[in-house]
Amino acid sequence: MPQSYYIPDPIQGTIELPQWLINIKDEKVIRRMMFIRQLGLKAYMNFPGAIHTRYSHALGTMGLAGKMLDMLSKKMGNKGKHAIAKNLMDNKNNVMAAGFLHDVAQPPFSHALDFTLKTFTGKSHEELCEDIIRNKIPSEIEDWGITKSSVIQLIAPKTHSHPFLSQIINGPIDSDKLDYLLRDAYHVGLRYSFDLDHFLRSYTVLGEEDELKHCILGLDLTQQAIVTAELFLVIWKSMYDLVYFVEQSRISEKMLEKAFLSCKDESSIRNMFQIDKYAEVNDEIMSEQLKKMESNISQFLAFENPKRLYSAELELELNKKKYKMKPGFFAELEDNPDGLSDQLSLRLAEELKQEKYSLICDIVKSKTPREIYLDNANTKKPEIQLRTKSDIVGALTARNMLKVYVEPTVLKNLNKKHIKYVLKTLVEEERGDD
Amino acid sequence: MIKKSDIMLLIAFFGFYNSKIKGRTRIQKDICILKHRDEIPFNFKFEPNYYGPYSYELADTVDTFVAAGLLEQNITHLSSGDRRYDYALTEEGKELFRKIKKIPDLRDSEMMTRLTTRIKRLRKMSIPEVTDLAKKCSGIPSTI
Repeated sequence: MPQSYYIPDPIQGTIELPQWLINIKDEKVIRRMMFIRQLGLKAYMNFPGAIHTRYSHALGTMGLAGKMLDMLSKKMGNKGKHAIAKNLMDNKNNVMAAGFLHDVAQPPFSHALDFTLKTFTGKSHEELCEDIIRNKIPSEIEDWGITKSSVIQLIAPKTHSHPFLSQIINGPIDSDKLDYLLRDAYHVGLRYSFDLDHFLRSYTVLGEEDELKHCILGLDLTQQAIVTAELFLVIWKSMYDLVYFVEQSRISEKMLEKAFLSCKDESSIRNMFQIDKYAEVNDEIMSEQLKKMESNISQFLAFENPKRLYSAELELELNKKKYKMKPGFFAELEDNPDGLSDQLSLRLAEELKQEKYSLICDIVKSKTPREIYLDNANTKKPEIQLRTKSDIVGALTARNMLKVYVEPTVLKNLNKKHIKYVLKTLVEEERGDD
Repeated sequence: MIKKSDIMLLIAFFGFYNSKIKGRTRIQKDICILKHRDEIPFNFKFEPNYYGPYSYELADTVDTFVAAGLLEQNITHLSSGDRRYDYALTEEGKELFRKIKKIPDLRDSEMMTRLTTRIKRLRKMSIPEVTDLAKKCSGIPSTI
């Protein structure tokens, strides 16, 4: 007889583990998520309460995805859209598995190592997720009607044939975002109040049943849906300003990235990113490995000793009025901002004749919300976007800031105006050759 | 993947449009048609959508242009109570457009001539018309 398994969760309430998860939950690659902190170095710098892990977020995303599927299936059935309702239920295990596994390839220290991972493996954590699901997740999950290829397509950005299913995991109002915003806020100690169940009641699937490949996840055209979505987006925006981009944590994360990049030719570090090893390494193992390095990288480990923390010396808005940026700069800004800031860091130190990475450039991009669509079924309008119904969404504008963090002893020998001048010439350089 | 050529072509699109573009939907559908029907070499990837093809990369790039001061975004309050998002090149955007037009490989190219003539035609079409055309000509294949 199958065993029941319940996990109490501060954000999603009690989560019942599905049978497929009970069977694989003790695998090393799954347990690994219990030893990777959801907010990386932020727990050591600004938010000591943020010691929650990728595992609790994985469970929360899965639980919430299951709730969305149940609610949407019932709602679409009541609307007479039985093919959509059936499709949601037929794919319930796949979507929930995608919710649980979407971060299985997150690097140790979470997003602090995004660029390091890309540099060492040529892949993002979303791309590595495919390798891990194919090679490290036991195939017995397929005994429960889950197919690995479907799970991979649900996680990878926009590759699934039915967008309304993948948008439950990866879309503008997905279960991932809703879980991490509320979970992170709770653990850092920001007491936002947001009623998830109330929001979920506004969810719907937009589109015609005979064209499932064009159906998308959206919201009802009601004042309740509009106001609740506005509240969600304000929380989303504020979490970036108050938590994800908070300065000391951000500087320590960029310093950690430079520690890894400084020893990228050392085989013991590179080996940590080989798939077999990577599927087992966590925050602690990676941290221990770094300390064993022959290269002198201790000066970059500010999360262990905050006295080493670089100081934020310049903060410049990347605006055409101040900088004559070329098209190649915008392409890199859009496509690879971390790579662009690393290039600027290297060039800036070189031009100023300083040690490599004694000055760190960082591009901080604050985004606008992705398009959220409302149901146009009872109107004659061709399409309705949330932003056309809301002044708040229109006010959430993007900004691109270029910051420079400097090692304290280096600063004594440099003039800030000179750093600013050299930086301007680097930003305005011609780049890209396509 | 967004390339330098996408940035130049998108600035050229706003430049040749030569007046404010009314609504974000118009940008999405026009660029989709220019890419898929008129073979203007945009790399922006479009996804199938109930409301017609949509490119997240394009939407993000437009927002980056606004943040960088190349495009001005104005919100018009319509009599229906809705808000419409209008876009036009700023003085800095126009300056960049002038420089792009002078690039030797682009200046007298057949592709740039095609871009200007096709934009003129698109400007005469209504939103439902461009939406319908974008759906027809994109032929976005299902990935499964």
